[in-house]
Amino acid sequence: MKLFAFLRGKWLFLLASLFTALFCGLLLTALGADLYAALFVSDVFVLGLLAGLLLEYLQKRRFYQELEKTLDELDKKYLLPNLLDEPDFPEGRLCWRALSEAGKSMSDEVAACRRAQEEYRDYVETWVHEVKTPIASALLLAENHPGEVSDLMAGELHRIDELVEQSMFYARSRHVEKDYLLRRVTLSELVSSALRRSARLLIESRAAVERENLALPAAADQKWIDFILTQLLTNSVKYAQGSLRVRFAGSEEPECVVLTVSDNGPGIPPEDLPRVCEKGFTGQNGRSGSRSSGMGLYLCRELCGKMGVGFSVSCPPEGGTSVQLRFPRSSLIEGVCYETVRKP
Amino acid sequence: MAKLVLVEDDAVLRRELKLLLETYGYACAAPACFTEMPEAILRESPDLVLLDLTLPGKDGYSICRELRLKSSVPVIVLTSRDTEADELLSMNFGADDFIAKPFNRQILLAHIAVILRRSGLQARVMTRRGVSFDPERASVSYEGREIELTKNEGKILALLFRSAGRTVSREELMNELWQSDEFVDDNTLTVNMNRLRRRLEEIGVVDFLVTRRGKGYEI
Repeated sequence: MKLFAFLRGKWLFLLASLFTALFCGLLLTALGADLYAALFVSDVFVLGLLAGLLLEYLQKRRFYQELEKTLDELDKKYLLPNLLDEPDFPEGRLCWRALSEAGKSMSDEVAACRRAQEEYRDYVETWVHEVKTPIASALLLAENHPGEVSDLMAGELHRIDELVEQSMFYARSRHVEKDYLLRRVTLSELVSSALRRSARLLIESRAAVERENLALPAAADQKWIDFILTQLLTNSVKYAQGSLRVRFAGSEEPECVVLTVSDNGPGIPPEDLPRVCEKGFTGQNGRSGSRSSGMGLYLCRELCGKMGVGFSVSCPPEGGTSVQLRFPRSSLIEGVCYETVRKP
Repeated sequence: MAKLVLVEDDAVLRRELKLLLETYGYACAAPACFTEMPEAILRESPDLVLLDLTLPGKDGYSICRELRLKSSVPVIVLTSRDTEADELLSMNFGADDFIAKPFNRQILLAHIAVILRRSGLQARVMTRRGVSFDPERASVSYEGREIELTKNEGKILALLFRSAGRTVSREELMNELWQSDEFVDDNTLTVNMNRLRRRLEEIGVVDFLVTRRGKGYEI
């Protein structure tokens, strides 16, 4: 706070005081006092006034400068009241208390929202696990009693299962840090696991699978990558034209190990490409014919983001769509990873 | 005949799983009351336990742990909680295998067969119409003559033997191969089937593997 600004804030008081000094001087002169004596009294009055204001300014300046500086430097502005000392002048104290109260009430509000969100997430998670049992029952019912209707039903049940899975990963993608477990795996393990899961879908669509150079190590949560690769494979099948070929290829970059998943589908129109990972974006392919919720790629990118895996979609000139997953090779992750007990 | 105990609280799933297991030649007890676990399981003296994790009252983890204190019977955990952490937890509680719901029934049957064979409770060698097949060694013998099959041919024959008397579709066969990381396409399957037939003919097994046009294969 500059002195000038401070004084400007006090202009009414200053004006009134000057007026009073003038009035006193005039009054003293009118009462027959000596002109010099009247001037002297007025001057003393004005000087005392200015000294008082200067002292007040110095006192407040410390607090306001601290306030401005902290506010400027602070990343999370709501922490402001916690970082300021309580000032020693009444208006300042009032401000400080108001700030503290507002901050406290806001953090209560945020905590309540966070709790509600966490509860909702837990509910979704529980619901998903509960609904898996009836899906398993229905699927087994369909498979135990084969027939044309049962086969169709089984197909639909698989789709339901996949959508249910998607909702769970959506809930997890909101706050996830506790939900995943990084392990050292090879790209080949990641790809095989996803292919086993999507076997039915890919076999039914008569897809041909190519795998190349997948013996590279990566740090990842297998279940998450399963989900992500399943989303990509589902997309490839959904938009396939003619006989589908899916290719998984591993490669190395200085900072990361790259898994490229590409297909020979229609690709993505260039004008849609920058937006395909946005939530709810359906694009030209999504609108023409096939169902698209605009959630698949969005979720893939979100989940990869949480795991620190790079995710990018491109359309190579030779056609089709190509998705790259970049697993970082940082020493930090190397340290965090550990081998778990393999299944018997 | 191997005896399984199925611990699952969902009535429909219990019934259908029991039906499936009995169709594939297992004796299966499926208690509908879970208050006396794991004693009720032990009373059946099973060869293998299929255990759901979310049960009314005591959860599957505690049952599994208590079961481990008293018996070394193999346990396959059936669960809808399938994160990496859940999987680790089940293994730590002494489960032998872990299958996520909803499961593919061929995968479930294959897992059961592997565990039973490993604990010596299921004859390794399966026989149909005089043809004997050993899935571990992928070898077929007929009237004193024996041949070794390739991995893929062995997998195909294993599924056909497991489903003896029923028609197995090409999709199911391909799925079986995919589940053991052989991601073959339709043409490769045809090649494999033809080669398998020729190999069987080498030891005099003819008209054993029947093609049901448009449906699949059967032995």
